[in-house]
Amino acid sequence: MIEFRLDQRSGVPTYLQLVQQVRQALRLGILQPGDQLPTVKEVVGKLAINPNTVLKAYRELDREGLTEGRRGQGTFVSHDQPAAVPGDYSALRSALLKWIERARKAGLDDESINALVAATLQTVFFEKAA
Amino acid sequence: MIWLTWRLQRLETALVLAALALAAASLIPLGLHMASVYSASGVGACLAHGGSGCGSTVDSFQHRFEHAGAIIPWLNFLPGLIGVLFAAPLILDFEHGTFRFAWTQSVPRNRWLTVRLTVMCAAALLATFALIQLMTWFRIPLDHVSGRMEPNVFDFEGIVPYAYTLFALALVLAIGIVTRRAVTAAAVGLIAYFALRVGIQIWLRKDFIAPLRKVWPVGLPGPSNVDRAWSITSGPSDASGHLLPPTTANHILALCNNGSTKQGDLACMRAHHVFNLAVYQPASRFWLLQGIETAIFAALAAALLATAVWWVRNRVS
Amino acid sequence: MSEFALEARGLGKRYGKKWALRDCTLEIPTGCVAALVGPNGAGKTTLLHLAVGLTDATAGSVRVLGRSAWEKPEVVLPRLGFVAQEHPLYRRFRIGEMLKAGEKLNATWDQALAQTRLERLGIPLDQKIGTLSGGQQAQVALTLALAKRPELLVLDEPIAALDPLARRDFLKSLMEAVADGGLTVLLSSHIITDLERVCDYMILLSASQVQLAAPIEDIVAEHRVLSGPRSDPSAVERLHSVIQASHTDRQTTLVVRANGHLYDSRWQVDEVDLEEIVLAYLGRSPADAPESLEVAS
Repeated sequence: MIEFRLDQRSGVPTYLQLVQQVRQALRLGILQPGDQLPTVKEVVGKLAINPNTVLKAYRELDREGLTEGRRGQGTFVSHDQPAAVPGDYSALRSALLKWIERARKAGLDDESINALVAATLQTVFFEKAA
Repeated sequence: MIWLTWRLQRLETALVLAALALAAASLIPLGLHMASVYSASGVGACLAHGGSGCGSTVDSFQHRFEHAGAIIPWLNFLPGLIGVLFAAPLILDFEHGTFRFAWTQSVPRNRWLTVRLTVMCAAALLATFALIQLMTWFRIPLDHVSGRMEPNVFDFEGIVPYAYTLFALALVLAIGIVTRRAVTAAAVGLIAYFALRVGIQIWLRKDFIAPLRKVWPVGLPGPSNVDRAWSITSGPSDASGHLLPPTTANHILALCNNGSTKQGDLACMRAHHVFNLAVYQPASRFWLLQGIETAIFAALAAALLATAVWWVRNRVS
Repeated sequence: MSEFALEARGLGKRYGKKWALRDCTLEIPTGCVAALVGPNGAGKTTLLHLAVGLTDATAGSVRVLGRSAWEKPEVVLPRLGFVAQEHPLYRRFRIGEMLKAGEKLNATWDQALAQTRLERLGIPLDQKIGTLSGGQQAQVALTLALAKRPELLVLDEPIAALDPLARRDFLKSLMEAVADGGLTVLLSSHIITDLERVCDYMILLSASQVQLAAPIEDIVAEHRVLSGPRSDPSAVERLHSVIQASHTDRQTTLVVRANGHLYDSRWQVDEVDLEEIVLAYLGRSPADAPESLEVAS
């Protein structure tokens, strides 16, 4: 059984930390298909977090097809796991690689590239808010 | 609700019972002894036959049990103590904030307050009833001999102790609810209670209704109802009832005390126009005075309780 | 079940000449865990006392579970759990007697829930209340409130007096109760740490007025900190609400509530955590609190 932990300082939303930990556990084989995830009550009793946060994380995992919620029983790891990196994203990935090459040629180091991406994402946030 | 109220005042009830038990432990043996002496020495029989010529028997009985009065003044604390102790649990509810627990359960606060006050007052009255019974039984022989009009007797018999208890309770409760401090309330309340009790006893009670005033020549029998009355003023006076100045009285006394017979002395004093003055409340007014004093303290208690209830309803949250 | 567990409209309470709470309008959705945050003396306790019917309003109204607790205590109180500040309990009682008091004072009472809970917490029923630690007393008080099986649980500064470990334990068992379902929680606190993970709704009270009332997720998503060369923030102010502006010789830093997009490349935009947002709101003077903030998103 997986045991969740929280990093308060990471800045990553709590529900996302739970999602990431399940993904990681699947990758490392700690979680196997058919395994049950801790119940919402168990998680909140351990971490002192809002039950809705756990529900949100489990919904997200369901949506990604990694787990399935069975009514009245709990949440279980799905038997047919989706591919780790879906083929749909390969076009995006190669475009990004090209962009990174261009950025390097323009003289940006990794840190600057990260900063640029983060800043651009923030601008996109404001567009969404509008 | 009644269980809770009882549980909240269990300790205080035990303390009141302990105080009553202490009083009983000191009064009952003495009372039994006094009653046996009373019948054995013939005081009772003598008084039953009109009381004339009992003087020496009665005097010796009174002299013998004079010391019995020594613990009585201390018992004056009891009605006050009963009031304070039964008011304390409710004050503690406000001091500790537990009223907020009670008021947010399912019992509406008016019902909570009604039950608390009713149980508290009933318990206090019951304890006072026990005290009155104890004192009245203890004093049966003494009441026969010297009546029950004097302070320290009047205050323990009849109905007035109920009013004292309720007044003390209401006073401490009102102070306690406003200040939310049980110890402050008990201290301030008890001091104020005794101040008022003593003030009324010394200055007001004798004038609730005008006392009787009798003047008669020395050596003659006085008015019959002066026995067992509450004597306010008495002593040698002139014919119009003005007390003789001590120097004059002593002068006449020295002049007439020439060692012949008692009759001769009295005749000498009569010749100097010496009279007896008695200002007193006769025993027949016992219930009238009890009624007036009870009414005063009961009215004060009611006003204080009303204040406490008003404060709880409007000023406490 | 109504949509809102608590609704206040123009709610105000005055003691003498001083308003302890003023013009308070807010809604708390059913099923959430709401934090009432603000500095000491901001009016948090007054708001909670008004909500549970311990006192009546000077102005406006507050309804919990659709009714006024002051006017209809017999309807509201059985559905409401309340733990007052410093979790008052009868000190001379044993815990078992405290439970009996709860049973006697309530029509609905889940004795089994109370006993199981205390057993799990390792608190024996025959122990005297006065000998319990602060954390244990808080747990007993919470147990008493939960045994009523309330729909709304109101807690006034439940963790203020507790040490960090007891605080975490208290919040764990509170969250377990929430996980059982059907419970809305409103808790006040002047400490913001720990609240973000526990609560999903926040009401920010300062200077007797509501500054902010919204889901925490929305609050965090809508606020950003902008930093850039020293400049007049009025351009930003035209589009966004500037909560806090601070300047050095060369730099200007703004905490804003976003109201549109921002293309001006002079500003660096960063996320800001809940604690910083709260401090930004508390840092401004009460006079320039815009009314519009009360009706959130």
